[in-house]
Amino acid sequence: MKASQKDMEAVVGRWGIPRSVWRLSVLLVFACLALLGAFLSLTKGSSTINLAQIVAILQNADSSPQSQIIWNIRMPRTIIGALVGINLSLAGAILQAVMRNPLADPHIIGISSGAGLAGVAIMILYPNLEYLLTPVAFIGAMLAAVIIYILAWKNGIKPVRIILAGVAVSAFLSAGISGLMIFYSDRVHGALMWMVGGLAARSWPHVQIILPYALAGGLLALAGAAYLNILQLGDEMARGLGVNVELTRIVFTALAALLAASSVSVVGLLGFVGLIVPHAARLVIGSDFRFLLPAAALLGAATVTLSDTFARVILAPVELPVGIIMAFLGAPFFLFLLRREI
Amino acid sequence: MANILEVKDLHVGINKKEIVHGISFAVPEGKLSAIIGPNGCGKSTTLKALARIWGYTGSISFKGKDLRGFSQKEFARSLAILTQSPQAPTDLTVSDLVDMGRFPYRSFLGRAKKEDAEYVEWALEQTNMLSMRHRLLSTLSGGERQRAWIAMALAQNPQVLLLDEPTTYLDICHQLEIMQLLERLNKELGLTVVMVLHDLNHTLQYTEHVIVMRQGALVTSGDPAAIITPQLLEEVYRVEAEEFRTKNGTRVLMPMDLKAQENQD
Repeated sequence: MKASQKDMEAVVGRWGIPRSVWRLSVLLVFACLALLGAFLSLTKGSSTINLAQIVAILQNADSSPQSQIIWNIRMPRTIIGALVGINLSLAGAILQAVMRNPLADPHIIGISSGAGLAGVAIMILYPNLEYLLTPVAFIGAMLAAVIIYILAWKNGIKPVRIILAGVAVSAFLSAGISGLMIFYSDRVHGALMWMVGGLAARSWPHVQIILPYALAGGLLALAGAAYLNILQLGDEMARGLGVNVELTRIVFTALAALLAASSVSVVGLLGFVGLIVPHAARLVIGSDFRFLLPAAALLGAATVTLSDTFARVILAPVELPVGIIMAFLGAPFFLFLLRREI
Repeated sequence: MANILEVKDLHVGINKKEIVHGISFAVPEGKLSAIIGPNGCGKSTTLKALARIWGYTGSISFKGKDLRGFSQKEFARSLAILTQSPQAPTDLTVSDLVDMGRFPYRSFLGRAKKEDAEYVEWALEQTNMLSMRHRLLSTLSGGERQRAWIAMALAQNPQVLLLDEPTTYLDICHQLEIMQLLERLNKELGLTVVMVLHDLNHTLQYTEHVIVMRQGALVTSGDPAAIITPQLLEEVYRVEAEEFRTKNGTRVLMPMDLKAQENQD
């Protein structure tokens, strides 16, 4: 089998680069981007703290303002940004795989509208309960996802039915959000910021909320990548190859819902990452999920941390919500990729 | 000759509409069999029930064991199916595809074993696809692509191969190539092949057993040479055909005209 191993190396990726080398290089570049994002996110902001200072602070926390800024503000914020990027990108990549539809994203299974309505309701109707925002938004997101799944169920799940049920339920819930915002237009500001999504004032407790989902979800997704690959051959061929299609679809949809809901309930409705990052990763690394999932996760972490840094710096001391920056910079870049690759 | 698949009183419904109404037949082991019949007669549905893609009532047994007694992966190691025009990502190579045929042999966290690579190699060799193993599936011609899919099914190392209209959309040269490939796999490996076919002359030329269906029911099954006659075409397809013989004695049927429509049943 040595000869065949060698042959595998001869598979040509882009620009004459062997495919395996190409894939590893892409992963490496995305990892570097994620590290760069984390580094900039730690150093840049209303006060610039250089790398040497950060290293010193990390080794030896003291009561200096810089140390406070790093430990209490920038470090948790950077970690949350990275985890949210990972979770939403993985959720999007998984949903695009199980629905076999390029437009599938956490929005389509009701995560955004469910979390949105629950979150907005808390912020507008019960502002004194705002400390419950994250758990309530999480429950709202999961409820919406479950309702959509049940509505789409008819002797099993057809992806198209899920997507259409998702569109309908989302429209229904969005009407609720709009209604609340119009009836209580005086209290809309906080809710608006949350609808766009941002990392401002997110700290360690929020890290604890997202981290378990990112770890467990990420590992499960990677372990199941072979199943996602087989699903790309269509339901019938996948059954023929011994995949329990219904079970696989339910498990992965639930996984994506948990990944997305944990993120959205903490940072608000970041719309862009879950749809575009998986596509961008696919355009560069291809559609083998064993490579696409880690690539999307790394690119998602890089995208959110870099955009958040930019959002803090560009109009400093005013801070823009990261969702706006991401869509503004990311959408044109994605269109560029799309024109080049397809 | 033993029967590898036994079907008894098979009913298959899709979305509450019954398509196959209680048919019984057997598939002889180690032979090429065809399922023929007019469009919409339920032949593909029957094939997919055999592969457990559709749920069914009645009984199907594989080597005397009820199909429902197999685990999903266990079953995929015994029987492979190739549906009509299956989909694949555009950047999938032939090797990638054939490697997927080894999926039923892997556990949830299992990685590719040396044995898997050997089976992939073997399947590519059997289908004469070794030289094209690194090509993208999307760049292959229809015939080559069909061979790649057959290689994937072979990598499952099945005892039965089911194919849904394997020659549809192919030109006559590639049709023959596929039929000859299946004939060779049958002769050399003893692989049992069951395929839905539209071409009755291919059925006459290559298969040893035929199952004829019409409107969800079995018309007859048995030796193609005895069954496929102008009378059958008239009865099943409402077509008037003439019979010819080639130099080597194979019978050929040429459809000449539609049978006058009496009363529709």
